[in-house]
Amino acid sequence: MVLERDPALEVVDMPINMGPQHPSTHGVFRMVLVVNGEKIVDVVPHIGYMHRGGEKLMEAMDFRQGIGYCDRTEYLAQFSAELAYCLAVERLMDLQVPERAEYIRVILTEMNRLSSHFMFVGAFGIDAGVFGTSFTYAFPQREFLQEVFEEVTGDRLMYAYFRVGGLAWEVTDNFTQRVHQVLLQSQQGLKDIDDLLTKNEIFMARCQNIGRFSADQAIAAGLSGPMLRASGVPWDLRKDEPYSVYDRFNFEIPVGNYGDVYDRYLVRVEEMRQSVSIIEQALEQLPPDGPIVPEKMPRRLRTPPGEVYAKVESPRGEWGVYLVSKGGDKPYRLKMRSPSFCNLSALRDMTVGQYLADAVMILGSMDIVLCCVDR
Amino acid sequence: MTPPEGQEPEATSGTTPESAAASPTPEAAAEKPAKPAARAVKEAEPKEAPRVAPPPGSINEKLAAAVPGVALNAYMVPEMKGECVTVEVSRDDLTAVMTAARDDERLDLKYLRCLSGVDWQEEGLEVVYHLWSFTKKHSLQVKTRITYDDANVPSIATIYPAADWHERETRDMFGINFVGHWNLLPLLLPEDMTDHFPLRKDNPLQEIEEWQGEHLREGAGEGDE
Amino acid sequence: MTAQKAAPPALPEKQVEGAPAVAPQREQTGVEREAERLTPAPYEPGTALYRQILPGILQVPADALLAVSRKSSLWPVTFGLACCAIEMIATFMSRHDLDRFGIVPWPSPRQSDVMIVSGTVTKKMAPAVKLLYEQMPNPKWVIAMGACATNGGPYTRYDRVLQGVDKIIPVDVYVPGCPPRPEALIDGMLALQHKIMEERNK
Repeated sequence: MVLERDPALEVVDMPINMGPQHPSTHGVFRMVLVVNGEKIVDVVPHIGYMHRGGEKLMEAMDFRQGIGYCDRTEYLAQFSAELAYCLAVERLMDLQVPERAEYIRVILTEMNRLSSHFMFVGAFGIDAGVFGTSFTYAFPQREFLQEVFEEVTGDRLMYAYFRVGGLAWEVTDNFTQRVHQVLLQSQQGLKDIDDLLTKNEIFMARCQNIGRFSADQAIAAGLSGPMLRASGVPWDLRKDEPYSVYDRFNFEIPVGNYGDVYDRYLVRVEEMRQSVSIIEQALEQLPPDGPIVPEKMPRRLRTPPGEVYAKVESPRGEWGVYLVSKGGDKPYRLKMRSPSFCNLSALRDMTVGQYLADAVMILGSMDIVLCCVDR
Repeated sequence: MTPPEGQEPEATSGTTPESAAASPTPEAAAEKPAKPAARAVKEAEPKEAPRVAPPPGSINEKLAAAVPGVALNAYMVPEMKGECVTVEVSRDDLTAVMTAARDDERLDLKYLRCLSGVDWQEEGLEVVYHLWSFTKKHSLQVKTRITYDDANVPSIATIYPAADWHERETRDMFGINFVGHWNLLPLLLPEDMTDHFPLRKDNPLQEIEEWQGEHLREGAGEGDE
Repeated sequence: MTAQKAAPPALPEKQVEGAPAVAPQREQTGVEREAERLTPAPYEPGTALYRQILPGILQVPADALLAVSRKSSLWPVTFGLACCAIEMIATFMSRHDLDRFGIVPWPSPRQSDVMIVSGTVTKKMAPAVKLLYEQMPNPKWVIAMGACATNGGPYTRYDRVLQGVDKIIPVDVYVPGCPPRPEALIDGMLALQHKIMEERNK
């Protein structure tokens, strides 16, 4: 007698839907995972739930109004997005930004990098199962940084402080002291995070050797920022194609060895330390007074026809602005090359073959902002 | 969509230095003679972006050597500050140019930075590719122009995997069909919406519905009478 | 210890009367001062008004009791849409701490009472938002947080954006701002609590 197995008990591929409302997808992101047992066979990401046409609306507004939409598109690294847009328009108009404005821009952008990475650490801890503890440690640090932003710009989240040619207004009188204070807080926060996560054995076991991506794969997939550096490509726009005054600072580019999720975490944490160092150098070099907008600043922003691709190193990677102008005071076409979008497109290659429980970790390690993915 | 030309009396950035240099007193006196000068310059303001031939030894020569026989219309825009050479190719040559750009040792442009569509209205649609080389540290901007009626471009997603989502997005927004893409489903739009192209210039912005406005208007009308 | 027993209820009066008559002979020692500070607060049993009128009975309308318990444990769905979600998280986190109002974020619609629509609702997302609302058990409330959820905000003119979440689900409280500060969201929550108490017998 030949024993036959019940065909109903065979392991078959099963699709699992995640999202668009899911607590661990960092916004409204939907992915359909096809799993065989615990292994992921296929991933179909669905995006566009937050596609709200910032690019189209910016084409209908003049250059100054567009700055507000940059904030709302990349709402964790607002200053980086504003900086890229302003750089693009400045290059079209051939404006020279005063030195003091450049330094303040750098200080604020780097502080923004700190606050964005604190958000990443908090959210990533939740993805790893730390259950809110990392968030409650990281978020107060964000609040300290946001306090300074609010004192300078007047808003907690949507700053709209950078202007084409410089800054909207002068910073507060005690700006330097406040930044020093907040840097001390942030260093303490970094120490807390280190104690909580970096050397945590459970966390390490959870993160290491998942979602590995080699350097060639990362370049082909168009990754940028910490994702690319974790794969071993020492590529940082601040160093390699310096914009603003970044060529005047000494800092290191952290590079990962293995290209896994833990490397991406380590790269970001080390980047925060480098940011602290950049801010300290910038505060030393900051001219005590001087203009913050060019002297020959036109009242109405009009550009000659032309096109420009400006890029900055945002906390998530290369934030590019491809600006086409036909002349006049509005962009003719504005494309925002968002690092989240490009990084997320590699999700399928990164996740297939991994375990189901690690999919959330891999997604978390990308540090996506869904408004920035969908624009 | 084009703003009215030559109506604003303010001086643009290009005109102010000239007028300031011409008049002996710096601020107040410069205002009055500046206005006619600004008008004159504005009329002469070019509609098209100025194009400069790239300096010898630029990347386009290497590309021409890599793909012999392909018509490359190479130029530079001064705003790019010499960092990016633009090459216009026809869509038939696009695959050959992109393959050469990635594989040729002289070019080694392994990284696709950005892919954007531009709607030039009467002049058709345009796809712009930004390439970058990590080893050679140079960049290249490739453009290809198509018409509305025949909006087909060969897909480069097999050459550059990074182009996968970019092409799907560009199809959503501009209706450019990337021939050969393995999965050209709508990405940002709902999955059944394949005939609506939001970022084209003929797609207007929607009107603001005023639900609360009805009551407000009654109150406002009384004051007017 | 002896001073504690003698002192209790009429302590302030005695001090006021006796202060001019008996001048302090010497300065109090630190131990004495501390003992004074550690005097327990006076407790007078049986002086509460309701105990005199209704000894041992509490009469409250059932709807008020329900409304109080509902408003004191509002559980919002953790449902972040766009930029406002960051401010929503900031409200839940340690600085602003919504927990003190009994408001605890909950990652499932099935056990939640409130939906905070924090961000732009696009036409692609709208069916999902509606489904989430329908999954929540009654009674349920909706807070439209920020300009986008209220009427589309800065994105209202783009044709893929829904001009306000009230086109698909009923909204109880609109919180203005782009994005609203955490204080504004707390105010919206308190307004919702007030509304729950107002509408308790409807």
